[in-house]
Amino acid sequence: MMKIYKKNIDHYIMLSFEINEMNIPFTGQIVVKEDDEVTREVILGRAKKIHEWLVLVDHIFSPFRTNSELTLYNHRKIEMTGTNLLFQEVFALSIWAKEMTQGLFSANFVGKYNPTGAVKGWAIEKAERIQLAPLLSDPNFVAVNLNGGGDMQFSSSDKHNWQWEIGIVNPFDNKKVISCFRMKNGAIAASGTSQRGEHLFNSSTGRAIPEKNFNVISSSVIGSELTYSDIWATAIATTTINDHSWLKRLSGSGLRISYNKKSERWLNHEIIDQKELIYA
Amino acid sequence: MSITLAIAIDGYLLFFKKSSAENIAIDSSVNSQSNSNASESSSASSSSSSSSVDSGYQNGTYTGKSASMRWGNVQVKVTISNGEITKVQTIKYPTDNPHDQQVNSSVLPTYEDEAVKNDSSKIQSFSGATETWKGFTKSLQSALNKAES
Repeated sequence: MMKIYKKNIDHYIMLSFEINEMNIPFTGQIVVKEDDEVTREVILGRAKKIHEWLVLVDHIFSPFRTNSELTLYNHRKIEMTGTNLLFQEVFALSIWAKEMTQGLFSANFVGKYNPTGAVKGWAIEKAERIQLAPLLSDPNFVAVNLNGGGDMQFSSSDKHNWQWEIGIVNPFDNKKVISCFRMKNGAIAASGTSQRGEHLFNSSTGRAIPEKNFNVISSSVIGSELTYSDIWATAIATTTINDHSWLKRLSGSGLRISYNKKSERWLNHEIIDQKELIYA
Repeated sequence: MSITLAIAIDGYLLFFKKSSAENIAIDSSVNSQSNSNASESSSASSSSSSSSVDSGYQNGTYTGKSASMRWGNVQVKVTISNGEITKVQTIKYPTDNPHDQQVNSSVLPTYEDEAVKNDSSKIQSFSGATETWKGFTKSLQSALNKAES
């Protein structure tokens, strides 16, 4: 039985659940007015559906499973036309993402196709839209959020004054928060090398992005759709702090930090400021 | 095998989606033998001659119509020669950058006071570069989830 955690926030109640899938910790957060048995039953039902969805996503897209569609496709065991429709959707998304980011994001089509950088945000956004956001039509439900390892899609009811307060973790000390913002509906994606080690690769050289001064250690992209934010967070994590070629193509806001502790904020295609993180 | 051949056996793979994953349809005139996953909405035919290379993909030019993005459709084209993908491109973009309109309400993140130990008591959710489940128990999010109040 999945555990539900309870937390009182002002005059609301936040009920949370955790799912471990694909080695990623997912946290579902449901803000309600009243905590009762029926509400918990509904939440557990949605949590189960989300878990099933994540298992399906893993079975299709896992680069580690020998029988995932991704592996079968890369080994020429199946044609594109024989793949799951979700596989085709992500394939189209990956192509568009590469062009939108002018190659900063690449799923490497010529060679071994790897859409991992787009799958997570896409999967979280879909789960939130299909399983959680519809709960808000019930007057007892105030707000919902699905956070997968730091990437999240969240929604809030218009009938309440609830806003999500989101903290961006300090990449030099993950016990600290470096920045925060409040928003009712939206998404934030984070990418970088600070939590998982060097997992980003320069698509043109095939080499890991090295930990050098001007390289970005963490990028956080705030927008309305996590699919979009996640692609851009991955793209910006491959840049250097002095490179702003991406800015005119990216909508929304965000923050990125370099290894030499320069932190930069942007909003709607403009740099707001760049400063040194003295205490980070 | 060349681009010429790829064009000669021109086929279509349609990634088509209206508003949710359930509505995607697929249509192929290149390849139908492995279409079982999409059979409920497939109008596949194998009218054109297909030419495949051993252990490669079916040669051809594939175009798709897709909309996983809520703000519009994306259509893509894939060219396969000698069993390998040689080119991918977007041929239709989401209309008039409507994403700009959707994020008009976007907010600027504010800096916490770096000198003081962060008061994160009002924060409900934490964002950072991908965490693994292994490290999660030591994270701010895990601590927050378990903090009864």
